[in-house]
Amino acid sequence: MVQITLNGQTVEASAGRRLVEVIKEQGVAITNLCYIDGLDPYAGCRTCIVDVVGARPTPLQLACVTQVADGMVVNTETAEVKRTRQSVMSLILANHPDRCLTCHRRVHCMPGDICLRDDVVTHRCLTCSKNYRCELQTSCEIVDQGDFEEPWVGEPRSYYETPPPEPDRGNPFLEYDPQMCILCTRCVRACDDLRHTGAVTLSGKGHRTMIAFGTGGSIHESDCNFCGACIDVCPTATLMEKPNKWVGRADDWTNSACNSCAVGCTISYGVADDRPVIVRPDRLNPFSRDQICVRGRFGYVAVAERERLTRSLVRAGQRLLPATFDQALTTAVDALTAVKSAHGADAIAVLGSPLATNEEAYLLARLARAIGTPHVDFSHGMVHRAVADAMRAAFSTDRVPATLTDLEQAQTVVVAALDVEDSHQVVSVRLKDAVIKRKAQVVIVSPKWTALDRWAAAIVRVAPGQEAAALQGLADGGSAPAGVDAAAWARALNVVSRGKGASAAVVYAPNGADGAARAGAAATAAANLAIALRGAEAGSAFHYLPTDANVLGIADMGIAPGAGGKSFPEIIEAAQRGEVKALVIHADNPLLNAPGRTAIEAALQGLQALVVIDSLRSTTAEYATAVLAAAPFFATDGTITNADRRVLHQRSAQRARGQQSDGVAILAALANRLGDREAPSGFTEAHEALAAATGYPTMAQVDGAPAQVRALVATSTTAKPQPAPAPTPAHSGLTLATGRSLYTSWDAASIHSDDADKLHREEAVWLNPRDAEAAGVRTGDVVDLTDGIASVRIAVKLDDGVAAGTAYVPHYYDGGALMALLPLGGAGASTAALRVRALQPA
Amino acid sequence: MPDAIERYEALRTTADAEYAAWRNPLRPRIDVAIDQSSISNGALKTRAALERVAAERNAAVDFGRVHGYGMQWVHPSVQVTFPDGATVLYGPVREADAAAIVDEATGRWGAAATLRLGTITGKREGVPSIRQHPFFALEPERRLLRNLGLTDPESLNHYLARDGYRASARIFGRHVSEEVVRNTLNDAGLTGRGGANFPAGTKWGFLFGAPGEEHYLVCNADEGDPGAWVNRVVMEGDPHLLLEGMLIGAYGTKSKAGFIYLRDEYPLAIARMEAAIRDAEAAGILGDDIFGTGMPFHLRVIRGAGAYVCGDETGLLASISDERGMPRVKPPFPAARGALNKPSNVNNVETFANVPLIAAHGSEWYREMGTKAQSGTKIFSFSGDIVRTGFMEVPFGASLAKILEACGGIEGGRALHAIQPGGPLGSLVPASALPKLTLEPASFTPYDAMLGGGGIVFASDRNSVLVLAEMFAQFVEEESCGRCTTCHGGNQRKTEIIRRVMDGNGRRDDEPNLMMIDRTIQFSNCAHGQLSPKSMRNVLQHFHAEYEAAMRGEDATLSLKGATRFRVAQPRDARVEEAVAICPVGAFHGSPGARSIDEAECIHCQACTDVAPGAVVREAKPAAPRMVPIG
Repeated sequence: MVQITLNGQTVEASAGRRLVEVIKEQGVAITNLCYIDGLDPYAGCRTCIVDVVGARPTPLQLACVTQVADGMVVNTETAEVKRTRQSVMSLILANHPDRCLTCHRRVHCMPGDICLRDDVVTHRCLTCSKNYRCELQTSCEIVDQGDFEEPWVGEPRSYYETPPPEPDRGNPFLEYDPQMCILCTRCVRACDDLRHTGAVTLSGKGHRTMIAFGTGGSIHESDCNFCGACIDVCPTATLMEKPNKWVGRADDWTNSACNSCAVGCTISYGVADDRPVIVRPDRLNPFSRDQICVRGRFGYVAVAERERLTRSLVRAGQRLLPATFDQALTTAVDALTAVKSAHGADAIAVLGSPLATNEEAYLLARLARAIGTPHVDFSHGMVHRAVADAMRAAFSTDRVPATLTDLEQAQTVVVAALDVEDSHQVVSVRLKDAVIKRKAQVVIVSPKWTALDRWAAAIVRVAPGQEAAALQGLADGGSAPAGVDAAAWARALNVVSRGKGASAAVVYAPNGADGAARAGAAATAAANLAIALRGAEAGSAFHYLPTDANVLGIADMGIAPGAGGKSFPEIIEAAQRGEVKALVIHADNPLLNAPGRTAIEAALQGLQALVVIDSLRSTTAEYATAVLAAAPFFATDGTITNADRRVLHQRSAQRARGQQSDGVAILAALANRLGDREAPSGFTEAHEALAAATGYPTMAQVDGAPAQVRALVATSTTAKPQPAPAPTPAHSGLTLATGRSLYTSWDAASIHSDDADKLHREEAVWLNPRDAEAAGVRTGDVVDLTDGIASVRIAVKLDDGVAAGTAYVPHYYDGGALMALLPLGGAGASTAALRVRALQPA
Repeated sequence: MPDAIERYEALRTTADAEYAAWRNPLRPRIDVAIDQSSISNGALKTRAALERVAAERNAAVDFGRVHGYGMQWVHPSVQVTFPDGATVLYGPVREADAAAIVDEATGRWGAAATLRLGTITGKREGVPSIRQHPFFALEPERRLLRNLGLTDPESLNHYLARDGYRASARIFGRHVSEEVVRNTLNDAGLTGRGGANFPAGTKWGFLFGAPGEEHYLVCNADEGDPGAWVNRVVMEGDPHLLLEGMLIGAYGTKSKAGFIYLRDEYPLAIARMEAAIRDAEAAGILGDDIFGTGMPFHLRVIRGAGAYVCGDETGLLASISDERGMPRVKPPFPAARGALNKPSNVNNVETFANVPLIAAHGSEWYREMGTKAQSGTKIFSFSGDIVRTGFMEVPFGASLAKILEACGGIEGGRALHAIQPGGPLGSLVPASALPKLTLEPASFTPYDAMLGGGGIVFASDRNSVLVLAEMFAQFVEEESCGRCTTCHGGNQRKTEIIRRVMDGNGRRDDEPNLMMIDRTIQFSNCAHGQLSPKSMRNVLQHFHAEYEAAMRGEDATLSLKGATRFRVAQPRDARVEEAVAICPVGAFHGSPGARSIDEAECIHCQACTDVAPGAVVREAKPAAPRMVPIG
């Protein structure tokens, strides 16, 4: 630590830190329009000029370039500093619509007022989407720019000799208006240095310098994955979220957590007029910190508000009609009671959802007990339990102490995931960080190309289903599994053998559609690999990434078959046989999530009673006897447990609309009417009850150290290598690979919206060019992907990112249509040969 | 293992034989000067014509190639070397003169007497030595340029035979320590020739002491200043001199690899440097095993993509490192983080070219030339409105007035108006300073000016300094990398103001505003920004009357594009058609007898008023309505 004098105050700071960061931490207002905390200074805006006494050749130095040294005397408010900053600022403003920025009347003006200075409407701050939340505006205030005579106002600009560049508004997420740009290049560096995407570049020189996406085309056609890190750092209205662009000035901020994957990034909802209008990363989660992905940033607007249920529904013949909550509740209770009295509680099953909160899951489990049924599960329950079983066998617990923040220190990481960039993007970002900053070695085991491949030291491109064999091979140092490139295998083995030791880790992310057998085998092999890499400490090096947000939490809450209870596939089979006659489904959509769609459809059709609690009229809800309208996730208070077992507080950012009820309240009411008179009906009480029942941290603990408290982590683990899983036989035809795509919203897919993937980027089957040639199809052709019984119509994309023999389709394509091609047991249980059938040209 | 010097001597044996045969050919040889400047002036056509004539007559001559001798106003030039070793320089040799040259070479002595410029070596009756030409009055001795005219620039053997690489063989044979190499440079007083004048040996020491094994030695050959072609002469005229300089640099800095960052606008220099690297590698002078010592040094030419700021050393390093060509933020300095983010050292071409000479002859020999403050010689290129355009190697401290004399004075007997050293980021020095100016950095300081990298342009009184300042302002604005708001924003505003003043719409607060921009631009990251206001500042300092005249909208002698126009005053004058023919932009419209000039197309070059004075006139524009600022 060194001592510096800042405006007469003595301040301590660690030596070598950038002066601008120290100044900001002291709460001193300083203009710094291009600096990004933590990155190397770009020193482009030149506005952070301060007076460093005795500095040469001039005491006026840039605070971003200057590193603090002991005894440094810094003044930020001298007349000379101010005048110099003003003159620099005036040059920035000269190329930016600026009159309002220096106008003394700006606080008095209202939209629609006539400008007394006759400023053009389109050049007014009042008509700018960033008004009142603009860093350039604030900076002008800091330096009193209004006091500076701006000599350039009204001049013909050489800047305008070239036609002004057109804004890019051609995509659903990100708007780019180059006219607002002050060329600070924060976006370029955020994209390069924070995200490692490199989609944003600086192009041209002189007055033709501008920000460009990719090679200068549209954002949509660049490598941009719409994470919005550039929006977060943009000081002007150049880069803006398209949704709510004009209303994004929040009145208040609500800390919450993203529920679109198991990373559980902490986010803040900006709230205006009782609805979220903007999302910013919230730095509480120590792993995600300042980064989120497109799903976190835009998840709250994935479905239009009118698509949300505001009234409950009750079946009347073929139709579902709106009803009051009490009517729907009564209908639901009556239907369930009828089944129970006629066929016993055993004829009723309960399905939960990994998108639900712990409190909801806890109440759902209580509801099941109130009914008296042990048949409780969720669509991917079997997959989760298979992985948990494998972990228990290897580490004697599935609640291993490994935490994702360790990944950032790991030197060798084996990633066994279909596409970690798509399914858990922030993990991918951190792995890229590790590769770039610490030269970490990443080995990817996947049937498909992923955006992380570029940073990988070795890529093992396996056929779907051969992941277990590959992971076991890496653990044993064995020979390459069939179909894996020998050179790539040798590289991977080399990385693994060199990486054994204290800082190696294995990341395993199963896919729901894989089915239990395949996921269990891969988890066993991955655990064996972790043991090979880390020996007795393997439990601290095995990172299980469930696909959905709260898989671990709902399992902790008891969403699993009780004694003698049926698992999800068994429930469906029993329903088909007529043994299960009633289902309660909370926030899940088996028609979207679970393989075996044909069987599930038949089962749903045959039910006597189907009670759905959801915020959406999902494809499953169409079969319901009664649908109880719940509030959407961003209007629900609760906790979720992420892959690290961190308990995150998901806060409601809006009040319930219409007759929506809180999920907890609905489930409590149901449980109450079905016999559990004690069921807590509020979030706080529910959490108290579940904490007492499961040993979870209390809300006081969760809120006391946000995103730091972990639930039920085992204090000790063992490391017992398990027998290698039995090899999966290869079968003829194409093998299907499927998993979570980046851009598809679960909510929108659940109602089978055409805009589930708003970008429509990934709505295609990836075929290896060799397979495509054999089938006689080219990119853009529409084909039927068929197993002989069911078929899925889909466009073809030729991509050698999948090996010959593999077809990749995003899971949520066409509302989960693909699930009709898989049996209930998942892709791992599939024996049917898939074919591509080209359609005759229309 | 043979010693490095033995290896060298082995190379010398063949080289000497080859060079002797070239110097004293069995039959006369015609060497056409092939360099970029000669090619621009038609040297390739001349060579084709010479070869055609020789073939037609079945003449007993051979053909070869040299680099031009420096007298670029008489390009294309040709040398004839006779069997007795005498070499005579001719120029300008156009296609039509081919027969005369072939005749003169094949025995009809006197056929090309009018084209003779002098002998480069040897004696010929009635032909003076070229060294007596007034252009070379200030060149006491050629050191950097010693091989010009005497070697084929594309021949390694010629360079070897002229004692090239001897010093490096001695050094690599470890007869000299790294420290001694560096100290010798400092003793000699060699400083950076790119314009910054930092002691070269000291700079090498930074890289030598840098951590790690991976050091890169980089040559800045991105010579982008208009009016400067010093580096080009070295690379096209004696490429191995640069290679040897870098080779010694590699030894003195512990570098195993290096780059020559060469602008793409120098295609011939690129070709010659790449060929020289290949030849040197084949001879074991570059590559994995230099002179059999086991020491490696690999060189690669990197072609610049046309960005002026890549001439800044950190911009150049960014470009080499596959980044956008923008000067970096310092620190870290290149010796800590340079090419490919490894410790590096960047020197100018001419700096490296001096190294073998110092290594061979020692620091005392080097200090014989130049002044106390600035020792040695330097190549300068002189251009502008002078009679004799060309380059010469003069000791530091030479009088600029005498240089102008050597260059034949100003064209057309006009008066000197301004001296422009150092390119667009350089200065505008008034003619009144000429008697006091000498060619050394300190001499320019009192005029808030810099000597720069070696290009010096003389502007006659036909030029408006405002036009020059506007041209430079526009150039530096367009070449701003876009990092600093002060630079890209400031230069846009500055250019606008200058243009407005030139258009006769100057305002009283323009001068304080220009001064404010000047002060603000000082807060830029690199020299491009910091030096960009210099030329306009010089205008306000040294040519204020001219600025005021422009502000008043008056145009006494100068070609202010906004304030004046060219008009056909006597359309029936026959000379108007000459003016039409000579107009470089085709600004004349209408039929003969009824010509008019399109003001938008006219570039105010004054060619028309030169050939048709009176018939075409320059006159003040009708006053434009003054803009009244609002608010």
